[in-house]
Order: sequence, then structure tokens, then C-alpha cells
Amino acid sequence: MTEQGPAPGLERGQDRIRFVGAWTLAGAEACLPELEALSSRPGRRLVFDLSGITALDTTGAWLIVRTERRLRAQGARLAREGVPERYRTLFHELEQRAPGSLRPPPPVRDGLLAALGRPIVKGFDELFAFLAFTGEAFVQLARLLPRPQRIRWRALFADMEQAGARALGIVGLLSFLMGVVIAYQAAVQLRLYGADLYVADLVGLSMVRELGPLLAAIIVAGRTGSAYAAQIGTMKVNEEIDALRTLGVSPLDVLVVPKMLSLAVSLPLLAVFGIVAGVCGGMVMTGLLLDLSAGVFLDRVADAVSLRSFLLGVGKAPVFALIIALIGCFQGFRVEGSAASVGRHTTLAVVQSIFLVIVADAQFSVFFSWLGI
Amino acid sequence: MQAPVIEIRDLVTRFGSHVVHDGLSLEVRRGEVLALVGGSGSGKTTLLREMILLTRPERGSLRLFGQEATGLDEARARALRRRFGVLFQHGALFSGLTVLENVAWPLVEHTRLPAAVREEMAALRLRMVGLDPEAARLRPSALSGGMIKRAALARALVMDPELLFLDEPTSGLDPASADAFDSLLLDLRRWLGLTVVMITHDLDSLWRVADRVAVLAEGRIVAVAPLCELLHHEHPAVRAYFEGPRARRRIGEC
Repeated sequence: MTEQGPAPGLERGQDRIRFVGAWTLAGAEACLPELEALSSRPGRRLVFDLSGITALDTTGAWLIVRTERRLRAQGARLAREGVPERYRTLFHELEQRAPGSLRPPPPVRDGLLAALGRPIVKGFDELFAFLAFTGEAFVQLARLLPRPQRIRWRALFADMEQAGARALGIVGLLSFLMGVVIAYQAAVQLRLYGADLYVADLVGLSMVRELGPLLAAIIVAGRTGSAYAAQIGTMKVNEEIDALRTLGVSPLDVLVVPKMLSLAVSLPLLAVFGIVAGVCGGMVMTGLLLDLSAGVFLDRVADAVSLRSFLLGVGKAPVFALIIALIGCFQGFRVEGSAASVGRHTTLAVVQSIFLVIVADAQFSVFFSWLGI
Repeated sequence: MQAPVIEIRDLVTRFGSHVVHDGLSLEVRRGEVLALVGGSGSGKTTLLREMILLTRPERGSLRLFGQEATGLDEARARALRRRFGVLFQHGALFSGLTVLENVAWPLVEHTRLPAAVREEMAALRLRMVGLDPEAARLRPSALSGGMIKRAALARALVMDPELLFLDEPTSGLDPASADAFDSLLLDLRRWLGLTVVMITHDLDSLWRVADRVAVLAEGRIVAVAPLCELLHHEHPAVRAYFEGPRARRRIGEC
């Protein structure tokens, strides 16, 4: 953007085209169609008269040069005249620096087969990389467990506070609301059969066996899994991960193992908290809808939920926790180079961990039903 | 005598109780290369950020192209920003775009040129800064430090600015690349008639490229002069800066 002047224009004579005005980026849009409209036939003599130019920048000069080249390619015999002294170097340099076409080579596009195959191969790559990462993390964990003094306890407890204690509010609230919702649906249906009392069974069992752990896991995946991926990803972009390696410290030791352990402890606790909140929600709703006192409701829940159900339900939570921690950290380590990559892998971490948590939950159901428990 | 491109009068900048600039005045003439030097923490980068309208000074006047630039509304500031280019210290290329897209980006935002012409313009700037056409399709993360600086310079040049701000353009480059960058800068100035303001610690670069050097100390510009004159300057801050053997060696060449 050089100083403004009169708008650029062309004065077209017989064999002479006079360029007038300020040929700068500001006026480029306006004069481009006029330039593109110029054409020539083979052998025609043409003169570009630049003496009327009041201002010229790289953009303007390039527009003139590329037009000249196009006309020459059509066979015109073209000369440039009246170039103001101060713009000679610019033209000279442009011709020196950009002799041929400037069009950069187009990006290589995949054929149909490649377009089909690449994501599949990438998917398998990612799967194997994840398996390798999981294996490595567990080996590292196994190495550290006999030497607990080498576990980063400070990082572990800080993470438990961040991932566990600070999630109590949201997990409690959502589980409570979930209890309310289930109690309402159950009450409406069961009242038809006069089985009011079984609302307590339904709320208690579904919270303990499924919803408590699952809800906690989904919230933690969104809250903490994403944070893991973003943290490790940003560290990778900043070369902090490389710095750790160079200092002889395994990033897995410092970053992954504490996170695995902290989630494996926090998530079951969160699940228990969620179950309690969910039962409370169910109790409040039942109290409002049906004539069922809190004492009766809780008695019923205590009868319905056996210790085995409780253990089976809450026992799934550590597995969910490991899935979330591993996927979060794994996606963090997959980040490459750019800020956009951090965003992409953070999203992937959340989507994949929620997906795998639900798949794992379904597998537990199939497994338990097979065992008949 | 043409009006100065940048005219700063009695600039005061404070961060909390920390006074960065205390009545700073500076003029940058059209067509010159002015180097800004000063110890770490002397407020060079803050001054640069004020000149490129990113930070607001507390008091004082800052005129760019003869136009008061403090307290501008967003539309005017944008119009003014189109007239200068900035090369950030670490390039600040957008990591999600290829080099070519990075360079073409200002054109996409500010003009309605067809995509093919925009790409040509971007490719032309890449040629001008001496970057291989093959590098155009790469992402910034795949580039070396010197290539990043060149690509970032190409982006700073794509709008055909009259004024170019450079923040430590040769820091982190090997001597050969730094020399090449200096030559490039001189060439560009010759072709385009650019005015350049640069922060640098590179004495070779000061020596070769800068017409005048401004020394920032104690919250003011304590001296502005060609490098040779500065080497004999009396002010203690200037002496401290050019006292070392690295600078002394140059005296013989004056």
C-alpha cells in the first residue's frame, strides 16, 4: 500500500497502451479485469507506455509484467517504453527473480484408491501406536510400583485435586439430576402396576451398576482427558517433551504414570459420589411424585443394592479411568507442530475416550451376563 | 525535507509502577533504516509494539505517516496497519496454514483479488525473499529458522508496505543466513524504497544495514546517529553498549 494517487487505468491506442495513475495494490482489483481483457494476435506490434504512471509497487509492476508475458505468449511483439527511472530496478528485479510462471506446483491429489486406503492405513497406524503406547505406559508403571519413592507423588496429588476434587460439584449435580430423571420415568410407569416401591430399586440399581460410573467417566473424559491432551500437546509443540528426554527423564514417568494413578483413584471415588447424589435425586423426586418417605426409599435401595452390585459397578471405574488417561496422554503425544494440531488432538482425545468408555461398558455388560452376575 | 514517517514526542509508558518510557522522542525519516538498540528490558519491544499499534502508550504523541496514531478507532487503526508490515521475532507464521497460504493471507483478508492472482502475488514475495518454490506447500513446522524468517518477511511484504518493522530479524540465524538476510533487506529497500525500523543486537547487521542507530536507555532515546558516530559518543549507556571488544573492532572501519 503505497501512497494513494489517481486510480490506475489504461489508455488504449492503436498499437500503444498507455498506463496512467497509481498502479498499486489498492487499485489492483479495479484494473485487473481491464488487463485480463487485453489480447493480441501473432505478429502484432504493441508498446506499453509507462510514462503516465504516478506510483508503482510490486503488485502493480507484477500485474504489468504478467500481462506482457501473456501477450508475448500469444505472439505479440511487445516493447516497454517510458519507464520512470525510479521504477527500473523494480522491473529488472521482478524479471530476474521471477523468470517463469509463478504458479507453485499444485498439491498432489490422491486417486480414489489412495483416498480410500490412506485413512485406513492411518487408522491402523494409530491403533498400533496406541497399543504400543499403552504397553509402554504399563511397563513403566510396573517398573515404578516396586519403587514408590520414584513415583511423582506431588504431581499425582495435584492431579487428583484437579481431576477429582474439583469435579465433585459437576459430577454431583449431574448425577443428582439423572436420579431425578430416572425416578420420574420409573414412577410414571410403575405406578400403573401399583409397584411404586420398586422405583427405589430401579434408581438404586441403575445408578450403582451403570449410570454412576458412566456419568462420572464421561464428565472426567470431557474435563480431564481433554486437559491431558492439551497440556502434553502444548508441551510437545514447545519442545518441552524433548527437553525432558534430553535431561534423561522419561516423559511417561513424569506425565503419564501420575495421571494414570491419579485417575484410577479419583474416578471410582467420583463414581461413588455420583451414585450417592443420584440416589438422593431419585429420593427427592419420588418423595414429590409418590407417597414414599425418604426412610422407606433408602431402606428399599439398601435391600436392592447388594455389595456385589456395588463392587461390579464401581469396579468398572478404574478401567474407565485408565482408558481416559491413556487416550488423553496418547493424543497429547500425537500432536505435531501446530496450534491447530493441539486442538484437533484434544477433540480426538475426548471423542475417543468417551467412545471407548461406552464400548468397554457394553463389554462389561456382555461379560457379566455371560457369567450370570 | 519530507515529513518523517514516524514521529514520537514525549512518550510515556508505565506498567503498574514500572516506568518503561519516560518522555521518549524519536523520528524516523522516509527511506532510512533505523536500528533500535538497548539493553534487555530497556523497552525496545514495548516501543515497537506501540509503533505497530498493539500497545497504547500512557501519554505522548505518536504520528505514523503524519497522522496521529494514538487513540485511533478500530477502523482507522486498520487502515493505518495496512500501510506497514511487521516481522515478529519468531516469525509468528500461522501454524495451521502452508507457507503460501500464510503469505497470501493478508490478501485474502484485505483485497478481493482472484485466488490465482493472490497465489501469484504470494509466490512472487517468496521468490523475492529467496525461498524455494518447493517450500511454498510446506507447513511452518517443517521449516528451518532461517526459512521461517524469510517466509514471515514475505508475509510482511505482501501488502506492499511503505514501512517495515523487524524484531530481531537475524537472531537465531547462522552467520551465513544472517548475512544473506542483511543483503536481502538492503536489496528490498533499494527496489521498494522501504522505510525500515528494526530491533537488533547483531552488530554486523547494525554495521551493514542501519543508516542510523537509536540507543534506548533510562526510558528515553539517549542518542540517534550513524553507528560510527555512536562509537565515540559520551553517554554512559551508549558507551556501555558499544564498549565491548565486539564493537571496538569496528572502530577501525569508520
